[in-house]
Amino acid sequence: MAGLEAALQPINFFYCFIGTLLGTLLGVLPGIGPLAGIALLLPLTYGLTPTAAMILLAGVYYGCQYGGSTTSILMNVPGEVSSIVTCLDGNKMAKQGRAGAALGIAAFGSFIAGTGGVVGLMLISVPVAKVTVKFGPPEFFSLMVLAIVILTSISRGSTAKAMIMAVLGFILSFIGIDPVSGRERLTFGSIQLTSGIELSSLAIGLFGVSEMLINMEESIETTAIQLKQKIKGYLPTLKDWRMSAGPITRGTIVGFVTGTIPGGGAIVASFVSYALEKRLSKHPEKFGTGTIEGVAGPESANNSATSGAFIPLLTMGIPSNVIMALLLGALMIHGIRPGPLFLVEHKDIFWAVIGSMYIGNVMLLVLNLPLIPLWVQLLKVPNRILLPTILLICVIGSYSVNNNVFDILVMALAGIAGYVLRKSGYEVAPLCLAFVLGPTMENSFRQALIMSDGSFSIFVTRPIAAVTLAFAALALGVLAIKGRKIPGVQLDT
Amino acid sequence: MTKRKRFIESAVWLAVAALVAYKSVELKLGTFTSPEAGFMPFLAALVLAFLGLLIFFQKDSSPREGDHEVSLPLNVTPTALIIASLLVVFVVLLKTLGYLISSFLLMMFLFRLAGNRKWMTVLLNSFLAATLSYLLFGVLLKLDLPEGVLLGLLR
Repeated sequence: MAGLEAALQPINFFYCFIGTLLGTLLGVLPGIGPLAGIALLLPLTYGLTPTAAMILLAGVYYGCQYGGSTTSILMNVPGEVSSIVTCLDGNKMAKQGRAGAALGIAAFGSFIAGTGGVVGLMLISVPVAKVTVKFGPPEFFSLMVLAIVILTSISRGSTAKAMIMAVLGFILSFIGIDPVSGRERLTFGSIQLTSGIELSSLAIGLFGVSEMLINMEESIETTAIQLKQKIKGYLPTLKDWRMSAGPITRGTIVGFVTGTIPGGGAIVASFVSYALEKRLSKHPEKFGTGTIEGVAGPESANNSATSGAFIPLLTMGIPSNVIMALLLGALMIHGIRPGPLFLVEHKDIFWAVIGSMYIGNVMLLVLNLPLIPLWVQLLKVPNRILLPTILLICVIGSYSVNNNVFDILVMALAGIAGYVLRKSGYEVAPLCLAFVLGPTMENSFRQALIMSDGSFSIFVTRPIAAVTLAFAALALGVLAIKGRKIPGVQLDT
Repeated sequence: MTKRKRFIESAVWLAVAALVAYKSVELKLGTFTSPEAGFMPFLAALVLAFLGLLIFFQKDSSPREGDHEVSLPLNVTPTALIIASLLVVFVVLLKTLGYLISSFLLMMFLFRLAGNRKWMTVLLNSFLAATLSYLLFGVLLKLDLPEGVLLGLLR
């Protein structure tokens, strides 16, 4: 109740509204996903209270999942990656004159799953935090290694390339002042680099600018979209509800569990849900032709996953995906370190975020369907206007952090690097995750070695650390033997 | 990926690893019991070097769907190079010319690159983008955007 009260405070309510609205907008617009969007908004949150910042960014994250379905259903263009599978059946339903039903069930399914996910987050966080409070540096180091290994294992491109990105992220995180000795590291004599590389500039460059560079060379021509049919009948029929009840329920559970797993998240959740519904269906051959189950399941799963993803972040301080890594960065900039003690020391923030997620889900349901005509109009803005404008916002976003032009340079260089790396088959998501986790991993590793008088055996003798590292080694081993991982999961949008 | 591409990529990562390792040794590595500032960067450099070699010895494979078979740093399209250069020039000019003029010039080139053909449209859109963004971020949100020549004279 205290959380709900905090969330209903006018200022927090306002930021919840802004976050969900912006998130929906980002989800609707193809070419800029939640990663780039959150990276862009990160600097704007520095002047806010930690509670407001988390409410805003969380709203953007789950808002994106609502918005992404709109373009998937109406135009067969996924607004963001976790809505790719919605294109398969959602657009077919639209072509059959059932766009309203598809949009309606996507919105209602998202609401039910989102609310279910928040309930799960509320119920599970406290017991998990009670367990993780007993973890020490070896355990945290091992968990972070596992998170990075799993994320690199599911990214596109070769495992070696993904691992290189992770190591590069670590190296970039070392730039600045060593926290123990106070000596400058990898600054190459630059005064600007003594304070390290700014996370938001790096993230905006890697995800925002590089995406714009790729989009500008691939789709310079106007992509004005004409919506030919009038959409009506947003409320699903009883039959639609009967057919969707199972997928929504399963999607909620699948999404929530997938969201908690390192490397999981909305993207993986939506794919897993679609595959599950197709397997369980009495008519799997109908998937891809316009089945409502093919919309209800994935759209529910991707929303529920956003709640699940908060569990490892808030209870262990370990982001399960890159978006959570950016939220972790936002909290750390406010001087808050999520982890087992977060629910004790900052329970006001925790419960306020939970409360705002309840409210946010209601807002999204109320906003989404009536605002669809507005989103359609926005989609008609040609790329030749939209993309340069977004680039300008990237520039302003980077500058706004420290009022320092050096950050714009970092953004530009990161953008170029991100562009070249992505064109060369490297995914930059592991780089960002490792960059955020780097300082904590280093600290945990060094503390673990000090605890064990320099012996690596501490990572084997402590059961949780040993099991976690064994899983990580197993994952790497399986990949090395099989030679290729799960194809097609792109994490950089 | 062809052998040449693998060689280039591998060479780049080995060079980065060598540089980081060199800088780490300068900082002192310490011991396992008492790691110094260079300890972790040196470890990271070793892993990077190993992975860089792994890239070189990977089997040649046919391009998969979604893979862009491009070698670093060549084969970057002119558009991307030009935009990257524009951003760097923007950074250089920002403090001197100020936000309004710099962003106007930046947007002018960006809109043109993005495919806007008519110069009047480009100039108008650039003016609108620069002024509206200044009003929103500089005035309304009170972001401290560089004044430069124009606003300095006006004041």
